[in-house]
Amino acid sequence: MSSDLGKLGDKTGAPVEVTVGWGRIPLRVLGWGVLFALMFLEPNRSARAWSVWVVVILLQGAISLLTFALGAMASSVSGPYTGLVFALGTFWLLMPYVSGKGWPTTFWCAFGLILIGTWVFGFSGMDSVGESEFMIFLLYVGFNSGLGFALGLASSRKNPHIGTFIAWLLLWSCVLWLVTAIPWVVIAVAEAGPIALTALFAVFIAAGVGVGVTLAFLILSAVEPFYGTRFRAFLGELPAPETPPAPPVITCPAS
Amino acid sequence: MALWLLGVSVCSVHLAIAAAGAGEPLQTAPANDKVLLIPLEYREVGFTIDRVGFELHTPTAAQAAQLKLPPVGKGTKLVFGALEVGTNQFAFAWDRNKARLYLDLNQNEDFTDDAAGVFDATEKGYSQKFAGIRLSVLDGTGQCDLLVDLRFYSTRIGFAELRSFYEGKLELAGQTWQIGVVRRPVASGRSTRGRSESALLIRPWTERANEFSLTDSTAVTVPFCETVQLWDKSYTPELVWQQCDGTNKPVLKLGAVETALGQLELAGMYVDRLVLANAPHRAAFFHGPARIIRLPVGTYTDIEVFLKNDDSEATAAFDEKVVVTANTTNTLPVGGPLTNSVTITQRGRILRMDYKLVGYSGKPYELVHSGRLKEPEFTIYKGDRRIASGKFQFG
Repeated sequence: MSSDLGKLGDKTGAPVEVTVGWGRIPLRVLGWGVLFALMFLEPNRSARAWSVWVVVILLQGAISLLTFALGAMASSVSGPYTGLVFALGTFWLLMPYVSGKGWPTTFWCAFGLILIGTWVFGFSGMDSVGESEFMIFLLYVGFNSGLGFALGLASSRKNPHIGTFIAWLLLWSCVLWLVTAIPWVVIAVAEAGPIALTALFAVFIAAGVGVGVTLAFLILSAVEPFYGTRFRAFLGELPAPETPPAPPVITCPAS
Repeated sequence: MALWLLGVSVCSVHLAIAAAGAGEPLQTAPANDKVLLIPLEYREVGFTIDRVGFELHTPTAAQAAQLKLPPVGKGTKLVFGALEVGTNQFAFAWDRNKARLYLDLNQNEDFTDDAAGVFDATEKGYSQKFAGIRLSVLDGTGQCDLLVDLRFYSTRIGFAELRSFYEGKLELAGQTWQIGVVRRPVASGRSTRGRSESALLIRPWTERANEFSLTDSTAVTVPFCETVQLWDKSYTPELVWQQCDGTNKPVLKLGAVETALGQLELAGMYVDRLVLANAPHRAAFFHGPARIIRLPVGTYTDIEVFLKNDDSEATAAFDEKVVVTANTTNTLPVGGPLTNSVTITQRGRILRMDYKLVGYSGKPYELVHSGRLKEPEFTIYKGDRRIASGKFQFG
């Protein structure tokens, strides 16, 4: 590095040697490995089940592009959304195990799984350990996405249809993001004046990206019959299988 | 080193001032060999000498009912705070909607009887500034004046910016020095631990027109401590008031005291000015110090150093416990040459590089620039191949 110090010292400082390690990348790899392993659960043993990876890869690619475009500062913003992609991917693969258990159980399973999945994976991908804004944002994305999804589910139980669910999801997402953002916006306005109201735009964008990620998985359920059937059963539109389907019994013909 | 002092008495010095013209205080006279008396003149400046933050509060309805409030309309929300100068406390009430400030100038906890204490904001808006507020405080037997600007950034936080001090003139070994006394306001209720109520300004008279600040680490101010070492002598400083021409005039009284001295060796180069302090007990000031300095024995906790080599200048301020003893010469880790350094930490896929300008023993310094500071640059090599370069960002 160099800086003109005049006559107080040399312009060029001593070189610093650094060995770049893998950092926390293995933890992320581990997370994606868990998602990959879920593909081998019995309900997911279908070629069509792999279509969830199209959504995961497309979303992750979009997030990476956004991070690259916005620079290093965006890494603390993109991390929680990567966590949300992981959480929803996991949820879509585990959905048969929580279907047909009654809406309170489904509510808490959906909320808990998305919340925990976002947090755990978000933490593992954290580029800046201990930075409060990352922690708060991670909390927001996980809490609002998980609760929004679960409340959408609870609200649409009398009319279990994917369109109804999306409408409720959008409504609850708006309510949750606004309600949870208000205390922070009020504090910011008290500290910095009305200029801090521009923070609301950031809230809208954050909510929009979160809902967009969830919608991508819902589109998967709308266009791919494998996940369509699964999600409709989860909503209660179709009867859920009693238990996850047992492996087919193959009778070998007597030789 | 001897102090060469002119004049024979404080009052005669003031007569000399009158003859020389206003705004040109002359140097002081010794009342005797042990005491220096430096007449001071009040001076207001256009820059901020000291800045103190304070918290504001909104009283409950019950608390508000107890207060003697300024004449404001019903339903007006007032925000309150207070500043202290020595034992004086000035409460104020801020009406943000009307951009008006009510100051309890007579300090009787009554806002209704201070006709001169009503100020309109000079900068209006969400954050507001009230400029040119003169406070007069009883300081011993005299009235000490202060000029402050009050800034309110929100209903919770504000700042008082001091723009006045008392100035005198001192002759030392053929060189003339500006010596000043800065009375510092403090936020009411805030801890003042380690912060002196006043500070001494000491710099060459030729630098008199330059701005200075108690917070800029340029080592031209010294905390007003029980004992202050100036060059090679120790004094007990005191702001006193003496009758002259029927009015009380401020005088800086420096009473020479005998103290046990120890030595410190300056480890680095280019040290132009140096202040060591342990407020409110002792402080020491050096201008153009030798490699080995002599100062009163004891512990010092705050160090300010100003480096200069031709036209290149840098400052540093740090907390470091330095013990001066009578029998040993300890090393003071200050001085240059300065070095550009960087620390690198990996955070996931990100390499974070933090630039630091360091002097002797890795202490951080800041360059003094008259213009815009140029960002330090870096280049990254992988083996011999240059793979990236850029500039550090401030902040």
